[in-house]
Amino acid sequence: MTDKKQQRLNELEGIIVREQDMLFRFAYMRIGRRADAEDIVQDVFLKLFRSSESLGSVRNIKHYLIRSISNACKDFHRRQQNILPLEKAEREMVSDDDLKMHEEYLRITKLAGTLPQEQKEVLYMKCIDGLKFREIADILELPQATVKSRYRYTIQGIQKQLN
Amino acid sequence: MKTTDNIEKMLTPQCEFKASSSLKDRILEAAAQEEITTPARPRLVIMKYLATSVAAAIALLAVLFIGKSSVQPTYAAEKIFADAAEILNNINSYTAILKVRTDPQENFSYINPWGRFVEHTVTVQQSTGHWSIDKGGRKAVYDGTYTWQWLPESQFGWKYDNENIYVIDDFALLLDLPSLMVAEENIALASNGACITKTESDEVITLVVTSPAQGDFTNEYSRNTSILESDTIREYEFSKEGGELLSLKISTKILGVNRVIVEMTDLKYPPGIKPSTFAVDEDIEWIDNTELGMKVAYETLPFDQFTGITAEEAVVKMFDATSVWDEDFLKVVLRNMSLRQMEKIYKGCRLLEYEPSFKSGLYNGVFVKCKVKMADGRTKKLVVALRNDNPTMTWTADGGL
Repeated sequence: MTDKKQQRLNELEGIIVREQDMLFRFAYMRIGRRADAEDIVQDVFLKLFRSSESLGSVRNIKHYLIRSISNACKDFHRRQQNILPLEKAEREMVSDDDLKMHEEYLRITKLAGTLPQEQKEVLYMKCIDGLKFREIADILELPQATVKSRYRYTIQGIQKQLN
Repeated sequence: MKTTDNIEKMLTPQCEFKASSSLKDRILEAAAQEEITTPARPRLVIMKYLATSVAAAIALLAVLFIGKSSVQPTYAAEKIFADAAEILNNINSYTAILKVRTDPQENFSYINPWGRFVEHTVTVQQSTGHWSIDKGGRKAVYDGTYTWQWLPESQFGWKYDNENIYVIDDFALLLDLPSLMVAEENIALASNGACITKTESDEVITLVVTSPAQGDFTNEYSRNTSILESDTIREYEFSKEGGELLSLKISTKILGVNRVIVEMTDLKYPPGIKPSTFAVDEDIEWIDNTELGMKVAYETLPFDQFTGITAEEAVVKMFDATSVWDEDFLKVVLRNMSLRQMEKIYKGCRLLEYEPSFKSGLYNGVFVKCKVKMADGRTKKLVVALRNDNPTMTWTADGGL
């Protein structure tokens, strides 16, 4: 293996250690199945590995990865025709270690209900992924004001349903 | 009563999400098998692009080979956009004239690449967040409390709580110039297929960004009806000395021809804006879409008749209601339209046939093609746009009538 390739692998390893759990949570909360979520995370890291000679030259790598995984999850749903139906997700066999995580997935998915996808994405990025409005606007390439109003509108919608 | 904080807390996962301990090794193993490939240079992207369009080729060849032009590494472009965003973020207000190929009364996001230019006056006061946009046939204002949008000639409009960017859809991008610069900076950073070229004169730096249309085009119905749903070439001019944005121009490629669809001229940075700029016209019939207005409407109108059904069923119910002019039903499904205007056209109109609904582009609702018989016996083909992305998921007609 060349020194150049080894250096890139070392860079990649550092990024994986730092970001893999965040990306896994992102994918799992949208897919609901560990194996699929991890496949998507793997594809995203490999795409990054292929994308640039120096991984360090990719500015704001976190945003790059989130944008990539968001697109990968959408592609996954397109290929699958639809999102894992809740009743099927509820019957999904999960290991004891994953039980709590899967319950959280089911609980939040039910709460978000049938929100339109574009509203759900902003909601998830804010509440689950812990991103700031500015970051969400950057990732979704929307004006910050649009993101804020979309978020407010979505919260109001859930508020009305719950009350 | 659930507060926003409560809801946010409810939506926050209460446990850790950990990837498998073997995931890192699996990825590194797969990466080790990969051949390192040098990413395609922007020039290659341009050459591919050139091959697709003679007219575009002429334009881009001019950019490439005239004067001090060059294909720039993205870091150069991203810095220019970032600097312009910084400058725009720090000014009190700006005004601009935008020429857009559209119809004066249509939604602000609507473009018609073959239509004539309609002048839009845009005013943004960043210190207060107030903005206004006026294209003659349609106006919109955010006055700090409500967002208003109205059709002056029809004396009809809509009122919303707070700032509601939905009323202008993706036109909001052009109203929010700092965010537009940040969005372009991100496109430059992402290296996602957009191609950026840079040219310089003594006083001006020009960046040209080409990007493909966004949205799902399994059905082409929405293509080229908004800026985001078009293949675009966006040209920005910046002052070489100060870095501030001077102008922008957006073109779209249609049938191999580059067509300018938006042109911003007369961008100014005045220190203050007259409060009257954000005032609404008098004598307008307002549809009250505020929380309070919606609450009153839900309590008095049969919203349940248009929820929990398909878009096609909503269309059937809508035309059942127009045939006998049932205003209670129509106040729900035609909530966002002037009922008096609709009555003049559709009173007595009956549905003859319809096709399954379809989606297109970025539009959040659906389209239903149908054939109707008007009160005078004529038949008419319509493509009705409907959406139910509201808190009660009630179908409302959004266009096509």
